[in-house]
Amino acid sequence: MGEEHLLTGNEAVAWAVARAGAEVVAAYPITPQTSVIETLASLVQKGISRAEYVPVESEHSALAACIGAAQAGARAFTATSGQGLALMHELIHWTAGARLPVVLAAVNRALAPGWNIWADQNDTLSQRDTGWVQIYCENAQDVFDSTIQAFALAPRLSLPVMVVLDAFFLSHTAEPVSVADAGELAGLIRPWEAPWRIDLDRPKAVGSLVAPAEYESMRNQLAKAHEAALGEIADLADHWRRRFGRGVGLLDRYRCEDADEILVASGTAASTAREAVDELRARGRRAGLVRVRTFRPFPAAALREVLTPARRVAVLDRNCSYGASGIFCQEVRAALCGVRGAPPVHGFIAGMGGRDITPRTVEAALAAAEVGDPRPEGTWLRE
Amino acid sequence: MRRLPDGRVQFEGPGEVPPVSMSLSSTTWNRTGDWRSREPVFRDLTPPCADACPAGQDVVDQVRLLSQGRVREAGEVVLSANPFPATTGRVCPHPCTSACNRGRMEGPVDIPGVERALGDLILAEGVEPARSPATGARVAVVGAGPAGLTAAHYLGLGGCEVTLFDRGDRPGGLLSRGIPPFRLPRSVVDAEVERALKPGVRFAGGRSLGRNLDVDELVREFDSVLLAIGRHLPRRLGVPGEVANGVVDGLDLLSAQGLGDVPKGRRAVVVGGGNTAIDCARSLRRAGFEVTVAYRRGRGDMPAFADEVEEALEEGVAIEDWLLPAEVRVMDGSACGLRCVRARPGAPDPSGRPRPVPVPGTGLTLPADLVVAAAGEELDALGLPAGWVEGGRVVLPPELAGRVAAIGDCAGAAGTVAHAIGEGRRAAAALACRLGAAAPSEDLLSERGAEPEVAGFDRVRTAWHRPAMPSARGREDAHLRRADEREVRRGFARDEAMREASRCLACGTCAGCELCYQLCPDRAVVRGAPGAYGVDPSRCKGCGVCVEECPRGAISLRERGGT
Repeated sequence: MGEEHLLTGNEAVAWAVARAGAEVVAAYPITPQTSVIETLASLVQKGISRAEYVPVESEHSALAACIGAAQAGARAFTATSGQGLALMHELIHWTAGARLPVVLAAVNRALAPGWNIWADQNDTLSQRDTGWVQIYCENAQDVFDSTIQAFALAPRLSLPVMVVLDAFFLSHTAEPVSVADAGELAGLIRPWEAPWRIDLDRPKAVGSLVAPAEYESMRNQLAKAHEAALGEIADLADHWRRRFGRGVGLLDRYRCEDADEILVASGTAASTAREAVDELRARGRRAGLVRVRTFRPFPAAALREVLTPARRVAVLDRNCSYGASGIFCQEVRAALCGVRGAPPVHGFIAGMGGRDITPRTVEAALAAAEVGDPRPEGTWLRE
Repeated sequence: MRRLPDGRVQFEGPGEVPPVSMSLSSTTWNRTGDWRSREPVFRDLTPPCADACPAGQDVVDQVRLLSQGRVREAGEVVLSANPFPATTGRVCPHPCTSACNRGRMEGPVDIPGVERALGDLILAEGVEPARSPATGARVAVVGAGPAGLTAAHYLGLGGCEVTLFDRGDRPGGLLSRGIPPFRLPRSVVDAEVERALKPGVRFAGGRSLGRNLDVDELVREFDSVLLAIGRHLPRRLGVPGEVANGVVDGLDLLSAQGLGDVPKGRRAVVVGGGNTAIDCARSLRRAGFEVTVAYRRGRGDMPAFADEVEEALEEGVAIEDWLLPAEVRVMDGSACGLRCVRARPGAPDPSGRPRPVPVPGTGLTLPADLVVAAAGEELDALGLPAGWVEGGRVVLPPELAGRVAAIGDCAGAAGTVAHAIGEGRRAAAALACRLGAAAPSEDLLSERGAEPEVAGFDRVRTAWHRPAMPSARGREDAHLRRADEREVRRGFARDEAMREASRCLACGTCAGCELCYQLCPDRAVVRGAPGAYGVDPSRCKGCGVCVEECPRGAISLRERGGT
């Protein structure tokens, strides 16, 4: 059986990368991600990870190195945050378009200016449309499990997977984590054998010009791979629950069965919301919580199923699509659009740039949803 | 999926399109090269060092071979152009190094240092060129200085039967009589001269034109005559007292000192500013003299090599410039000083240097018991028919063309040993052709396919060359070297010479580095031996990446189908 370790979220990433048998690690330091790769460097040095650790001169190069490694069939990993992720953007698209099974840990960091090293989700949500799978984690155990699962999912789907965790609330907060050992994970992560893997015995060119019709066909297959990913993620979560007795797949439902009002949140804010829901329940309100764990592919069907019976939905976003609303809010509204009897969806934006989200913030959101009509642009909660 | 006859594949439905952009067949059907408007040309250019070499040596080739430790092959390359590399490595003012493109990076390659080491190594290893079959052609060469020796060597090598006449009783001319051993050890000259004479050259010493050698007789008896008699008559000071005891000619002094005849005295004045003057001054310094060099123009106008002047100053030689000799002061029939007049720079003379103009009412007397006249040498025309001399040099009447030729200093060559070697070899080449003998190379660079265009620094891609600091050979300490005849400049050991040689950028010359092959985006560069790379015209799109990246500028772009 695995051992219990006291690990921060970042350390949990590093241990999972080592346990998953990553073969190439290329990364460039940036707060708050740095301790991921520092821990990994140390695990490589101690021989706990057998990865080839490639120091590079920028995040763009880090992902480029992972792309090359993955194209040749190596299990590749990188980690970054905020500006670093923004710098990777071109190759973020490339990784998915080339259908390469790279795993990336993104520690959410607010984008400059002004300079800010604390948590919000605009950096990873800016990568929403690139074709990556995105998994948003709630706690350190979730981080460990999600990272291992990312390595398992990526080669099955030929899709890159981004494991997302909040700066400091999660990246730098230590919790007990059950670290599975190699024996427990045996057989879970399969080798990647796609026909476009570079193979010296079967030389080929990859990434060259394609005509419009073929391009469209390839992008259509990328979209279909995401549809297939919904099932794979759910199946893997079932398998994980059977083996380890924990974890969720697409959504985490909490006290939703008879709920009138359901809060939708992601990341560590979901833990805070859980406390608030318990308090509200104690006061007799029928509150519930849905944590969106898998954001891409977006679990629209599962959300419809859990949210439709409620009387109202409040979405808490630690991000903003300026000129529209919170991004999770848009997605939830889109999922419920056209569903007969669907509840109104109220959007709330809070905790930008690492500002604390407290149980009071959550209560304020539900209270505002009770009295007002939903506003298209959402409501900023700033006490 | 259908495979077409030319190798392409065609999808029969959208379901066959792979999830990513990847090749499903070879793209050789696509002759992208047909689109190009420009094309690269792989061509060797002349490296600046070789361009500057008066002897016409293929510097890059000899340096490259030595850097690889291929001493014998490097020796064969150098000996094909210069029979005296151990000598020129010591006494040539190395215009090659001044032209070296690496000089604009960390510092030029020490080409003389490398050549000297190579010359010494092949002497030690006994590398010698092979003689071609004898032809029976008989050639007389008059003058066994560097020009005559070189010509005699290559003619002998080519199968001629050569007789080399000289007024001295040993061959070498200026090399053995006019350059002091601290610059050029006798053993080095002797060994190289011996090797040069081996293939079919008979030395006839003690024969002077006009005394015991008759030019008409030579023309009658030999198929061809080469005059390489140099310039050795001292230019006189032209001042009162110059016939007194203690007034000597510079070359005579060096020659006598070379034979162990060291002059006695305390203070010497050397008149002149050329290498002979500086050599005399330094030799006298070693014989215990206090020495002043009196030169009529400025320090910067001196024709002596700058390194030699610097070394003379280190050794305690005083240099007085802008000083014209006016009179040798004589006491009891012997010189006791040189009275001089100050000069100032006047209008430039044909050489571009300012003419010295005496300043009336100035003057000083330099005390001296030895006055050395080393203000240049002139042609000794003794024994030459009147019509063969013009303007102080040998100019042969046209009807003698093909039978008599004049080369080297006597014919007005530019005066360094390397110039003499170059003239000697080219004269031998021309003569050998006429006589049906095997000819040495006239132009090594063009014969190995290099174009005359010089690969300047703008063609060097410095980023591709690993930084490499020059190695300093250094000199013996001035105090120690003043006490004896030891060689002033240190040499490279074999490994040091190889390391220094490896700094050569091989400007304009394919070194087989493979960058063109590796960087070609279309894999259109076809691999070959160094110098034998090319492009596959059906693939090359003329993008110019190879041209831009070649570290040594050996590839050019031209309009398609152009020249």
